[in-house]
Amino acid sequence: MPLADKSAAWPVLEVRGLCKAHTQGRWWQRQFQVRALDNIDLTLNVGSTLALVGESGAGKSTLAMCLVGLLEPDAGEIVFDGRRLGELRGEERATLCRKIQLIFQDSAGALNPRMSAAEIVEEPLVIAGEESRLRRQRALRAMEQVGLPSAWSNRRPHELSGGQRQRLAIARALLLEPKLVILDEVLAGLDLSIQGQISNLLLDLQSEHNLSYLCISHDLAHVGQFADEVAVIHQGKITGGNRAPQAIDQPRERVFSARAGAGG
Amino acid sequence: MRYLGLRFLQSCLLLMGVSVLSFLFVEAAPGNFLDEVRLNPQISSQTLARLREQYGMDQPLAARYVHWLHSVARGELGFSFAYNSPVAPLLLSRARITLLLTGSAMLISWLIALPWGIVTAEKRTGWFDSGSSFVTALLLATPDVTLALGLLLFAIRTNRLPAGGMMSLAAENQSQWLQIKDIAIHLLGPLLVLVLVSLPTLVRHIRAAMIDALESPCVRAARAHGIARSRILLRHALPMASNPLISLFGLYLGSLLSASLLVEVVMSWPGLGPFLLEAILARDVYVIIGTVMFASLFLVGGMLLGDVFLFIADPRIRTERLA
Repeated sequence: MPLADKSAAWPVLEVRGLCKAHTQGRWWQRQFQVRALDNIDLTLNVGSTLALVGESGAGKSTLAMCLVGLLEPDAGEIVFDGRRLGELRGEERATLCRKIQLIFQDSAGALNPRMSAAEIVEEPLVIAGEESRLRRQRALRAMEQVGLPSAWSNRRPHELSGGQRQRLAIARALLLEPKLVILDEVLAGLDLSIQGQISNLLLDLQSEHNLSYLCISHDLAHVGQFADEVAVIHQGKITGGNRAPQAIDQPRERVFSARAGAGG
Repeated sequence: MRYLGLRFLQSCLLLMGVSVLSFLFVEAAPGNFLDEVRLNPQISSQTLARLREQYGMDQPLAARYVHWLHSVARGELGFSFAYNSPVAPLLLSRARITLLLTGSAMLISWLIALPWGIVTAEKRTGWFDSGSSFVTALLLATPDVTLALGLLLFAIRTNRLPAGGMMSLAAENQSQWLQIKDIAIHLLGPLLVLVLVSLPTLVRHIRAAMIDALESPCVRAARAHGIARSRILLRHALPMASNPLISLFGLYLGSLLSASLLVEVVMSWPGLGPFLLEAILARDVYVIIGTVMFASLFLVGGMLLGDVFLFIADPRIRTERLA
């Protein structure tokens, strides 16, 4: 599948010196700070895919949470679509943040079990104040776009398979016409053939909508196939900057060598 | 329908079990209704023997149980020796008074506890939550009797509340509206005690269920998609927290008849509490068994209703049960 022309690309996302620390321990205990993100610098161009690879607890999900506004960074700045997120407030910030969509690994948990497939997909449009009939039409179109027949609109998440639920989550994320989609381990837990189908779907959608992907994973094998660049994160720090996937031919070794380098 | 039918059948079997156990326990207790009559020297042994025969006390337990089952089928729930009347109408008139108290207490408790629990869950690290934890812990640690006696003391010392009963003598000949007002004033004391007793448990359950829901991946995902906070609370978190709350509601509904027995006795509310206590002291066995059965019926019915609500509310349970 041909990707969008990236020769004249400009950055949709720039992260500069981002820091985030979590305080651990209750008020009556000894408290200490864990630096989840330590001076993170990242650049992601329009229409391209950056894979962020690191072991569990390296700070990948914290970075994703900061990007979508679920966590407030302690220091540094996030420039999205040419605007500093930290300088925006209220509705202006919320509107811009909606252009960054996050898709979670645990699709079973991330979808409300009491809602039907169509209700789940159309929900982001409720806040946009769109009329209900139009909303439903757009939701059904988005479902069809990700390969879910509109006849399944009344099915609940527990009536769908893991791959179908992931497609549903992708449809929901697409509905707000995002510029950046953060894929947090979306292929983990799926069998190989489903992984291939979802990867192909993501590539198709990328070329169709000129989407940028920040693909988070603990395993390069999951994301290396469609990432343009790879960044390795270890203990909250990016080691070595953005590189081509081929430059990290043995990801586990590279992660361990990066750890040794950071430790030394 | 098959699921509901099965649950109904289970409930009937459970009630049968309760009735058998009630009979066995009452039989195992020493003494009977005629023991006090026997102390009266003016009553001859022939009269006693006739009374024993009349009340069926000379028959074996199994025969009495079958006889009682017949009276249940007639809707009488046995015969009260002390009141010389079938148990059911006696029970019903008192159950109405108890339900007035417990029903309003339950309604008020839930109306207060729901927003209270939701707000403490939403602002779970703030001063309001800390204060609320302290108040609910204090209320939980205070026994029902202490609360009831404290309120009784307040009523007697200040004369601001009636110290017992359901209606003043003066109100009996007044208009209906004034009678309702008088009952409401008498209701205040026991109502306040019952609300204070049930509030801490309810608030803590609602808070815990809401925190679980608010920290679920589904709510995190909704927040990440930019869904408004109020919508997340009402459309996502509250329905997700509803399963344990519906079960709790079923239990509360079931305990409507039995929750207030102690408070009624202490605060002289003429419901089932004092009625049951009198029956126990007089060894009026069929009133005791009837009251226990009536309370069990409510408990089983409440839990059944809770199950039905769960069945309606959660599509996963519907699919699982219908599969």
